[in-house]
Amino acid sequence: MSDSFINLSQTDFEQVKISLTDFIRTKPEFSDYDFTGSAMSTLIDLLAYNTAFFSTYTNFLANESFIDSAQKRDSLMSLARLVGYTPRSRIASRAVLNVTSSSSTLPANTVFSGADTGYSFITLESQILEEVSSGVFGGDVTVYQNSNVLKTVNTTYSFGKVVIPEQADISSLTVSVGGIVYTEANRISALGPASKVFFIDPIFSGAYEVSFGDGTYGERVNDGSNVRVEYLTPNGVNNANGERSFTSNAVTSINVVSESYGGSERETSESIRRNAPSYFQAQNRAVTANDAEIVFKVDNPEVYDATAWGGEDNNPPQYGRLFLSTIKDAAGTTFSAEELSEFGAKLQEKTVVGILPEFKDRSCYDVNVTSGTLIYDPVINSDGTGLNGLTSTKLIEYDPACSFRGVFPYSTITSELVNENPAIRSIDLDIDISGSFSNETYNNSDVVRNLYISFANSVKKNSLFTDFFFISESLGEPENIGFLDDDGDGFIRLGGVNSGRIFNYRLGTIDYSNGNITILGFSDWDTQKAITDQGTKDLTIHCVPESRAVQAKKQATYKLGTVASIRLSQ
Amino acid sequence: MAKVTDRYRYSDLDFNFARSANGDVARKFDDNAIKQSLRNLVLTNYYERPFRPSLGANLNSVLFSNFSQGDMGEIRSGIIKTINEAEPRVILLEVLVGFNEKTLTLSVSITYNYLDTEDTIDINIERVK
Repeated sequence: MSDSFINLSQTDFEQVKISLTDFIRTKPEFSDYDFTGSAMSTLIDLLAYNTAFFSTYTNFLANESFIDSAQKRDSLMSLARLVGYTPRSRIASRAVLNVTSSSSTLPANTVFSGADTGYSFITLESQILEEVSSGVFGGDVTVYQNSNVLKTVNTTYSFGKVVIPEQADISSLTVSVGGIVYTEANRISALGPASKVFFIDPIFSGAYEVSFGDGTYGERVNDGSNVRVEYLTPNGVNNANGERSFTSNAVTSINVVSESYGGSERETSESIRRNAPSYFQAQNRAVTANDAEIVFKVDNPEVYDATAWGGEDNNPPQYGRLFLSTIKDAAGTTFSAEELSEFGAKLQEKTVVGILPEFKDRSCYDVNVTSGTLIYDPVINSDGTGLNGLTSTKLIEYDPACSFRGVFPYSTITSELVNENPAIRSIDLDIDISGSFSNETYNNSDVVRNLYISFANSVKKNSLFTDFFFISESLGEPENIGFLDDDGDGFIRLGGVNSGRIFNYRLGTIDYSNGNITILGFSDWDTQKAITDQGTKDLTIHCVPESRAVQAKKQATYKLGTVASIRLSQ
Repeated sequence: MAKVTDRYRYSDLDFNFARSANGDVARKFDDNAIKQSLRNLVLTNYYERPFRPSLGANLNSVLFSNFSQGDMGEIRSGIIKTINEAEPRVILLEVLVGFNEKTLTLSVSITYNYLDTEDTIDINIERVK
């Protein structure tokens, strides 16, 4: 239909061309606009092309202007800079070694070669070793992976800035002016004209720049000053993690205290997109649990992952505490007590007064597939052979593996099974979650038998049950085999399997909304008998979650547990 | 002002952008507009028009080759295909293609029928070096 106006809502070439043609159709002067060879058609093509080009360009421009839609790393870096977020650079892998030497000093830049990974590690600073025996000095040293035997030094100071290449680990950055060491500025409000600080900001192509104060906020550094910037340039990054075999000519013996860890590539674009707004929201202060998590991870780039939660979410609650759980690599290796203590002290500077950060190991519960029904097409697979194995393989593929914020993606698993194998017409799985208490741990007479589970997922009423476990002979139960269940009103009961009798109607409590289970002073659990009976398992408490998409929250993480064979049906 | 299109079936811009008597850009009408269109189509090369990569007879691509009878046939069929697809106002009667090796000129003669009137346009492309 002809329009006497140009429709601006369409922006691709063909639509713009139609819009222009419709417009010219209303003008009496020209009639050849819709014949390809005409001059009018050629001009319309050019106009449409020009419009399409600029609409595409404008679309790119608009996308790159917002952190949600920016695609180029440069744009994300620039947008992150606006909210004061410095994207994480490459991080050098590090290891802690206990060394002995005939010299009392281990100089900076001492090289340690890694035989497993093939990368070299160096010491950053000169370290004094203690005398452990006559003429033998020793101590723990931290070594960092670096591409050279020395830290890279940059003294190119022009236009008030020093550019640090994208290969650098900026957490290792040291800056000195005229021999005086400057510190990195975090809060501009705390600075004065004489503050010897430097600023670090992300710039184009993943590089960073070091700049100094303007004379009001931070001391001004004049052109021509002797500025020295040193940093690690790790080339191994995550490939240098896990090194356990170190050799060096500078020391007599080496014992590995902590194998190399923490090496990682620079922060990905998606990570910048997610973390920059969170960091801005936190304002560099750990007020809420989410703040603590992001501030902790930004301040400690060697941390692989971490989660934080308030003590009020614990079972039992511990008010006035901030809890964190952190790991140093994908395998879930934990940090040493000394390292956690350092992390805690650093984080406490940013928490609310009176709130103490405390580190806890994550709890890893099981997601079990207890049964299920698979309906298959006998035309494609006559007897359903291999479908149980296929289901197990798919479940293993989506094992949350105790990861923080991991999800057991039930709907993805079932839909992929149906979509990928034409023999499967429908599949339905029954899921429960479980936590175990070791007979060995609770056998000692000094141990108070208080059992706590915090599944951090809603569970169904009357769904609690336990695996086979022994109870005290004094209860008079044949075979002494007991069970736990819940009464649907939030109380946990203790009963005997063979007699069906309930011995205790108020053994513990269960909060269905968050899966908190509390059993205090469980003296009727016969742990000794369980230990002497070789075939007996630990006390394992199961619950059926409200949602089969079980997700890790706070300290509660999940892994795939037992997978029962599922029923096949045509 | 009288509508020119009342008297002419087809009207188009003059591609030379010459000025008319009233100072406005000149136009071409009916058979002249069609001749301009045919010439434009034949002289258009592949990828010249945006988003229409295969429009045109693509004569430039063959201009610097050693002409053979096969090349002539290829040029001719390209011209016929282009006009049949893009210029529905004419009935194509004949296309002749020749190459003068002395003057290095490619000559195309197109005979067509427009509103029961037979007409011919000649297009010459010269290789200057």
